[in-house]
Amino acid sequence: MESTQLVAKRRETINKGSTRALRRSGRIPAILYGDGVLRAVSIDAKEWAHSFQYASGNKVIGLKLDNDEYKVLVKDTQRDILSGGVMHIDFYAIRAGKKLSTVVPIHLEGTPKGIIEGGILEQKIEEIEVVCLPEDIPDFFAIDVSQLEVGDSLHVSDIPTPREVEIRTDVHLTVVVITHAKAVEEPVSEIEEEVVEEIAIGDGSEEGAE
Amino acid sequence: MLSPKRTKYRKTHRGRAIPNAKRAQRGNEVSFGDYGLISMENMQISARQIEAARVAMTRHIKRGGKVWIRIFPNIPYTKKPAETRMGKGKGSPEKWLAAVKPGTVMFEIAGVDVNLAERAVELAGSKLPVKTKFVVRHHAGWD
Repeated sequence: MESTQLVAKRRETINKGSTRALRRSGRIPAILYGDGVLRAVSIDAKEWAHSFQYASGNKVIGLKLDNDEYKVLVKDTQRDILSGGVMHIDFYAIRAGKKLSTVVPIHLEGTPKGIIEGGILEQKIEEIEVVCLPEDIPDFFAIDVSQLEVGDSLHVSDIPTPREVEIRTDVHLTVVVITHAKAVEEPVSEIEEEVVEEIAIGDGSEEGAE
Repeated sequence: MLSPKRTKYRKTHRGRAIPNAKRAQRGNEVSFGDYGLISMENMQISARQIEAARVAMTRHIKRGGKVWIRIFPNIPYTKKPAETRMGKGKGSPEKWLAAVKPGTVMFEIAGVDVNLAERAVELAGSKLPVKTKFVVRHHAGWD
């Protein structure tokens, strides 16, 4: 697992106003916890967007804080759902030699036969929860989907995993399925029909009232 | 059109779409397809508007794609008949509404390319009473 560096600053005041001021100044408020540490910190928004924007929960980051360096995982990222901006980040400090629980993304490899025949690939699960030592965390689980035909599916149990990694997600869950594409049915929409009916009824009632 | 199969009460308080309401806390991620249409406003959308949007979208993508409708109209909207005097009780159910908040994913599409999906979603958005935004699903672990 490759490790990358990120510089954090300690936050002195922790309230709504100071947090908003921090965001306006181009920094992201964050918290660092785990392994006996609990610190309110902040990181540079540009640095985060450049290198870590899509970092998944299994990427080990070296977080520099004052004179210390912590090995951390991104446990949670709060985003503004309309603008997409990052509001807050949770960093989880890990200790070498101590087992931890994290999520590992699934990468699909190849183009399924079913898609060439007109099917649609649906990925039901993006990440799998695992328990392992920090040094054994895989970058991703690769699944070959090139042999899948329409109607075929793969489950968590079909994912090849190393011996030192324990899967916590239900092994019966479907990861990927190739479904049929739906043909477009209606030549005349239901709405148009109903509007026509309503106009006819409306005309009749008005005549009756007169 | 979408409507509940059965309800506990025919008429209920239907609430209001308050401006500047809190953002959607659930149903705010593209979970099934590859692309989605999110609402930027808080509003109540009728079953007829949802159906019009669906038709616009499916007609544009023609064949090969799959569409998911993520909202369901479960709020009854009542109306008194025209030229009726006040009183004599509440009006009869007229239509069904779905409540959406800013960030609610209303429709999802899969199995089509991004340009076709964006145009289909734009057409669907034009049938709705809210400002909308096209979003693309980000698959975990890909930069």
